[in-house]
Amino acid sequence: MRYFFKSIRWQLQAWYGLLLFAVPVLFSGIYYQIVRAEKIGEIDRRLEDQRIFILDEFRKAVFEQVDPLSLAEKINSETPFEVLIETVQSASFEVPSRIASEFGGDDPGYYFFHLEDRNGNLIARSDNADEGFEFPEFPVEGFNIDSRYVGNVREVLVTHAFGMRLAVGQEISSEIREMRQFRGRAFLIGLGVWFFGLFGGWLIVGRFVKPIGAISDAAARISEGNLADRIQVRKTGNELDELASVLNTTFDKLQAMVESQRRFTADASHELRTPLSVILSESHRMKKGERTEEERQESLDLTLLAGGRMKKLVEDLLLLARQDSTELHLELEELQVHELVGEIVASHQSLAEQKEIKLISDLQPVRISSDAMKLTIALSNLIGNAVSHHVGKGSVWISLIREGANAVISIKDDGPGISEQDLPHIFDRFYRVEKARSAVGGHSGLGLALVESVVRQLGGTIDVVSESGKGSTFSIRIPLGNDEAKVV
Amino acid sequence: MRVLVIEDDPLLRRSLVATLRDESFAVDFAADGEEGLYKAREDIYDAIVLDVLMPILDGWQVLDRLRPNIKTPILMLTARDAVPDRVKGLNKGADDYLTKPFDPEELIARIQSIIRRRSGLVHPSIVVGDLEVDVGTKQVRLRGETVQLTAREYGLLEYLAMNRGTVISRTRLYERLFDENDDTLSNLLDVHMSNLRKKLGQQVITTRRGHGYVVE
Repeated sequence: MRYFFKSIRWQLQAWYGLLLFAVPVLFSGIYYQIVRAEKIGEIDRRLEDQRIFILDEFRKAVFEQVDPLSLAEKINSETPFEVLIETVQSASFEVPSRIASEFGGDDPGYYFFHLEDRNGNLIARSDNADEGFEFPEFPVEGFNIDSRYVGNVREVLVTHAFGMRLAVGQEISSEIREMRQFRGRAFLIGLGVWFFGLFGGWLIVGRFVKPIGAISDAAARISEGNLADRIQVRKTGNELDELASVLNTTFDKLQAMVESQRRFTADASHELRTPLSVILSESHRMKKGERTEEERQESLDLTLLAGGRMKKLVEDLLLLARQDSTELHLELEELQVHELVGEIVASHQSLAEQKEIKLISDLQPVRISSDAMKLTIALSNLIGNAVSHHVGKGSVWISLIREGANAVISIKDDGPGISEQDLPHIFDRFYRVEKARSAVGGHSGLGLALVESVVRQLGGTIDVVSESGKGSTFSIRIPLGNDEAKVV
Repeated sequence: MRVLVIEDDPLLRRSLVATLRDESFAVDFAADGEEGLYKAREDIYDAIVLDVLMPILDGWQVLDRLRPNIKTPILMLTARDAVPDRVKGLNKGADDYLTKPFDPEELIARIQSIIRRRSGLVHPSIVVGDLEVDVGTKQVRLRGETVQLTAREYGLLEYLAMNRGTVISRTRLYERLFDENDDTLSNLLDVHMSNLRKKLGQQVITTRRGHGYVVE
């Protein structure tokens, strides 16, 4: 579970969800504010109409209820407003019926008004009006207007410069309820949009994250040992597919390496098991029953040969293992290659003489900086092969020349040669040309693999030209690796 | 009993042949799969020892080409001891499987066991009247007394006893008792037969004139 919430899918989802939350909140919020402002504007406009209506009605009432002659008289000595106050305050004044019907009561949505003079003396009011209005300051001319909420009531307060203050208000609980409902709906819609977005996002993120899961699953299966397993690559060509392809290639290479290692171990064990079988069988046989001297001799020969083969194999395996280990470093020294080659040729002389093979050397003096031990392994194997694979009565030519910045050593023989189908495999480990196998003498099938590995490590190259029945030529090229290389 | 050894490694081949000959088998050998296949098709062997890793034709290929026509019991010999390899061998019609390096006594026991199984014998001893032939220890007892036989005499008796009730022709006896290197005269069989009858009595092996011999 802990890992679940740490998953990319969850983290993406969380950040995305957070961002997405802001969208409906902002949107609904702004929309709500717009709608609300409009609603209030509408109420205020209505109240403004009512204010004008009140003033008109009173003015009309004054004209209706006061005798026109006395009114004309009054207007000469008083301001129109004073006439209005006086008239309205007089006992005989009747509040116009239209005002009485419009303002009053306490049904939801009722209107009220309150009219007073400069000194706060009441002029007229509807009986449902509150008291203690906070009117704006008196202006120098015209009027000041102010609007506010008191509980469920919206009121407009107007202060006229000529000394009149008027409050008009409306109970707006139904509007407030409407707004509240609208807010609730906006919230629900916003929430819906958010959930929809989250769900869609979850699906989309899931779609994109899915390959990661597939990759990690495949990697897990591979780490459990199923090396042949691979990640399914969809052909969309996005970054994850590229990653999957790269990983698959890596797995391919690893599998090939493991496979070749496994094959090598199996081959090595096979190569060891066969001579071991011989030794075991022969010792058992000789322990049992009476044996003639001849039989005993023959069995000992077999055992010795098998033992010799195992020894050679173990030595070559060790060399190859050492060669394979990466820590291995070269011990470079200045070498007189012609002397080194001469010594190696000399060491094969006796075997060559037994088989009536002439070793013919043509060695130019060449000085290189290289690893003597390695070079000896390579050359010894090549010359040894040329002699031991030879049917006998022939020649092996060994030449050393300098070619540019390389020392080139060629070993040519007029032995049996290598057939066309064997040629590409001769550097494979444990590959043995069939004839070589029947020649019992110390061949591990590792010799040429070892030579190739050593030459490569020395920075050189090896190539072979051979024709079945006509002999082979192995040439190795080793870089001089010293000042000599600069001398043309 | 005549056995064919198909093994490419010259040392092991020599050792195998010597080991089997010590146990009075007539032994032929082949150095690669092709030669082995050619010889095995003659269908004159009681068992074949077949190495898996060989040039030209490997053991699996030889096995594929022999079965199902040639029913000779086959013991596969290999260095690989992984289970899938064993299963593969047995599924393809090999009768047994031995991993190198092996104990030669185990090899002998397994060869004898696959031969016995093929001839329908469950127990290693065959009883014919007063005579008991123990093919496991290669001992022959007549009325409880051990009879000393030469390897050839024993081989002759064992083959007839294992195919009890069947008339075996002289040619077949030759095929099964002498390997390709034996330079035998045809009357050698009569010599062995006569010696055997002297040691066991005349009644054990019956001669069917013109057909061959039978143990009833």
